[in-house]
Amino acid sequence: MSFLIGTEAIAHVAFWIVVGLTFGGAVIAVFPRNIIYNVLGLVMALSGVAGLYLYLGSFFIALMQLLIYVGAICISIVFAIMLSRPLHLEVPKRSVPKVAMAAGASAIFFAAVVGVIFKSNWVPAPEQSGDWSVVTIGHLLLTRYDLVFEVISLVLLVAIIGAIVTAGYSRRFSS
Amino acid sequence: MKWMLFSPEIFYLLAALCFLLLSMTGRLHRRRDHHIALALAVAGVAVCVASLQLEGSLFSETYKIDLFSQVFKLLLSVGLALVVGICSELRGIQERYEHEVYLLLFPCTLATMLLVSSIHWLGVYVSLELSSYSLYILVALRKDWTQGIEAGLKYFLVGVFASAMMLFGMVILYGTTGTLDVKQLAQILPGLMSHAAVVVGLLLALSGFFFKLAVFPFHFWAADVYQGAAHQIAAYIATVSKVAAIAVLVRMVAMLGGSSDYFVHVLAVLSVVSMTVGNLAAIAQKDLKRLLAYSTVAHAGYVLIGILSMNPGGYAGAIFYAMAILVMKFTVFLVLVKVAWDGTNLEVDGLAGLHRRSPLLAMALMVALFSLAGLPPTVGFTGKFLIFTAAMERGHFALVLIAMINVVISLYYYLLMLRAAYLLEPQEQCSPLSLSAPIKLLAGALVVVMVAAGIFPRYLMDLARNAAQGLM
Repeated sequence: MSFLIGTEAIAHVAFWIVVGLTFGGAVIAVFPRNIIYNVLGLVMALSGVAGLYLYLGSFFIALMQLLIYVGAICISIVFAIMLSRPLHLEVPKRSVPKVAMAAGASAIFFAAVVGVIFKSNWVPAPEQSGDWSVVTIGHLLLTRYDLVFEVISLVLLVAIIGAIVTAGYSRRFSS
Repeated sequence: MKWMLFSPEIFYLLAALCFLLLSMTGRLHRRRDHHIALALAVAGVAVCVASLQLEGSLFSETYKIDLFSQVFKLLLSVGLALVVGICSELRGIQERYEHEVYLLLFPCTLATMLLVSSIHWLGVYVSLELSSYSLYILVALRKDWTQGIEAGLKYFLVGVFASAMMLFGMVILYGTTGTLDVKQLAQILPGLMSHAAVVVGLLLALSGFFFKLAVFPFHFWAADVYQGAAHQIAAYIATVSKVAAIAVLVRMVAMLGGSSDYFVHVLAVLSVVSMTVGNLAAIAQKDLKRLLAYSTVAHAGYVLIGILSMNPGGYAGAIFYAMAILVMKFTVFLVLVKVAWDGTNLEVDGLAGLHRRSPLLAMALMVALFSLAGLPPTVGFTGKFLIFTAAMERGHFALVLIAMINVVISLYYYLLMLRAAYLLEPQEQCSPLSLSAPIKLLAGALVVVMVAAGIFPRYLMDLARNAAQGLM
């Protein structure tokens, strides 16, 4: 019995650590003026979200989160930073009215969302709705979500064309 | 043959691939490319006409083909063909990227077609992204590249914000109902509409389309993007992209809107603010494209009235209005492209002396502006009439009154444009505009369509009604 309580406590602690990682990462991603810190904060927050997925029992999605968001997207952001304006230059000052307005808007939105969350009674999901193994996801992608899957490839094509076109601009920009 | 159902989409995909191959050859043959694009776009219209009567569903019931979707696909294909028709001289676009214009216009149209048929939120989201991404890049292709990049970036940032909102809304919907399939949602939601979470989720999920349609909180991009984009691209955004957004809003509200008063109230507020902000801001504009952008915001408000009436008449009115917007807005842009033939931005006063430089264009502009303002006997009047009567049926008297006041406000700046075209004397001597025969024919045809559809709207009205019937 005490063993069970022990694991539950550990699970709770792990949950709050993950939540803390997510929130802390989000704060670091927004506030520091050095953009490298922002990216590292983003890495932390996204890893925290991966932890949340793991906590919800979705091993595959947690891995994908790490692989795609932390592994690919954050790295490409770092590349983008490397190729853009030098970091040692003076960063422009934050204007107070802008910060106040942004904070106000986010506070209102946050209050609204929290209000909605508390006002509605959420239907607790069944333990795990169906089988979420890689095999099932693969089947679903090629049957039910076939169209979505294919359209995403088109989105990527368009994004690549866009990247090439805009990169052409920036090359002329620097020369 | 189930794949026949998918024929318009397949056609546009193949057309896009054709331009992908052409762009890889590297050589620019402006006339040849334009002719190929025009031929493909017109063939696309033919394919859409041929598939007008198809019905069925694909991809495990997540993709619905009915009269509603096919009518909108036809409208979208007509819009693309019209826009390609004025692309013969792409002076507003950087020369080395002229291939990419067609290469991006076709997938974008494909995406809008996927949008009007998708009845799964995931499909809707991904198609929306495809059309938005194409447009972001198209906007950035402006010859004056600082302007283009700035406009593209603004469009992108607002767009990303809107799609984040949309995803958030979809998450809330999924959290409360456990499904993203619109058909299943339509069965579950009516019982849940009293929950705040569902209404908020639905509104947020629709915000992606409020963005596309430039409805009030997401209208900030419109003026800058219209001004920064090349004329042809702005024409495309003002016509095809708006029509697709109206289609999705109509379908989603018809299937999911249910009978929530709160939902209707929010839509009513958005509609009123969009109309008023759009019209008041338009008065202050000097640049013609900025003015048109704000007038688009106002028109989005009118369309919302039809949608929030939530009766077949309102939906039919919104569909009819989508057709009207396509023709009216395109006509104004046609005039713009021809008057500002060198691809630079045009001030309202730049229209001075148009009636002498090209009487035909001046007349087309006049009819289009009357139609936009909603004066009889034009298609714009019929559209507004249908929408307002549908709203009155549901007792939205105050809303119709505000809309009427807005129509009067809008008359002011439309007449200012008209005054510039007919009464102002140009500051320097301007040579007459030389128009090619097809363009003359097109301008004449547009005038005839706008007037004829205003006087004899029966056929189009029936089409819109039948399309709306299928939704309920």
